[in-house]
Amino acid sequence: MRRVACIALLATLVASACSSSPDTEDRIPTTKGAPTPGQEVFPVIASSEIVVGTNRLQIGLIDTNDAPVRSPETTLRVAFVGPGDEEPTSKSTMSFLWTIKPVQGLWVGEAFFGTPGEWEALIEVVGGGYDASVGTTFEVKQEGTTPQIGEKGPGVDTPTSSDVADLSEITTDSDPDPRFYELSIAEALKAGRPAVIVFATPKFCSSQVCGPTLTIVKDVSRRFPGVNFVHVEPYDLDKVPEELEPVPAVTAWGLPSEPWVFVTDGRGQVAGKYEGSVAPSELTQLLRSL
Amino acid sequence: MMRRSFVVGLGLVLILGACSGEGSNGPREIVGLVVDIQSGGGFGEVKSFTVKEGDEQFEIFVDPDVTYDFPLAHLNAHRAGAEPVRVEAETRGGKLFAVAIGDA
Repeated sequence: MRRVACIALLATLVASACSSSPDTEDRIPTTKGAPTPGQEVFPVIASSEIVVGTNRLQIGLIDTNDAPVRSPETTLRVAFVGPGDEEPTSKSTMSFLWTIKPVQGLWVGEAFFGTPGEWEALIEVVGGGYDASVGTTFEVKQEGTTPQIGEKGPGVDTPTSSDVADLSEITTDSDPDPRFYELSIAEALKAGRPAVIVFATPKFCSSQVCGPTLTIVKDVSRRFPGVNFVHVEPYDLDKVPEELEPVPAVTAWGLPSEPWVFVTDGRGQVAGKYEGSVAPSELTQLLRSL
Repeated sequence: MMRRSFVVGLGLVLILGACSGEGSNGPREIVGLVVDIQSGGGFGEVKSFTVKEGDEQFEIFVDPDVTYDFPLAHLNAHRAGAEPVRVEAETRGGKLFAVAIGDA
């Protein structure tokens, strides 16, 4: 009898010791945006600032092996359903754009959202061997923190080459283009020319998206001698890597993340803004139009 | 007496064995793609982010008391580039909190 009680007690102890398995308590799966079983691709909304009005929306696709899909022949036909709506109220056809060929690319398109709240994207993935329907949800805010298209960019006295003995004091770019450090943001906005302002940190952000952003803009800059270019390190270089403190320009421009690229026209008004990545073709097209 | 000691010893071995594996409450590693970010509003202010690891997704909360080596403002670049992250996370109050974040 005692033996039975002892075994029962042991069984209870073992069972309770095993009760916090990694798949239950320690690893808590979320169902948010969970893929539909059997779907070929998983959509990821790659824009963090989506606001009421017209947006440049970026969507990435991940395949069943969790690898990014790179397929220029594939088009996304997206229908957007607003909060409380049964039917889509806006649509967008999104094309694939290489940011770094053949490594990095996303589907980019204009999308209009009339109200804030949680929206649903119903995405038809067609072409390039794909024929799938997938969906995801995302948040639309009433307004963003970065300057809106048409707004004047905040004039900030960012450091220039004339303020330092060596460019390494104001840039982490290992091969800096002096042209990007001749003017402060404030000077570039008042110069009466279009300007491209790049917030990026090549050294402290060396991912496939972040690191090459400045390189992409530098490449494009060679075709536009009449445009001013300004590179701003988002973190205070006197404090990194111990402290990642944003510089005043980051706060003034309301950046939620990095990198960002802004294009302003000859009046200093924002003509385009790109979060995360910008395709050379997009930047070239906009600069030609100014 | 010998038998009782054996049974108790076996019990301890079983309990320790059950506790020593993946079932412990210590930090756990999640490696996957960032598929969603809940922003706190300001630069690099992130409340939580969702990591897709295979067929599962995990919402991982940022601990405001932890200084991460990884700049949180950089998470969106990982999301946009479908570049995986490695997160050490622990469970507190039924939620996963990031202890450390890094490139995978």
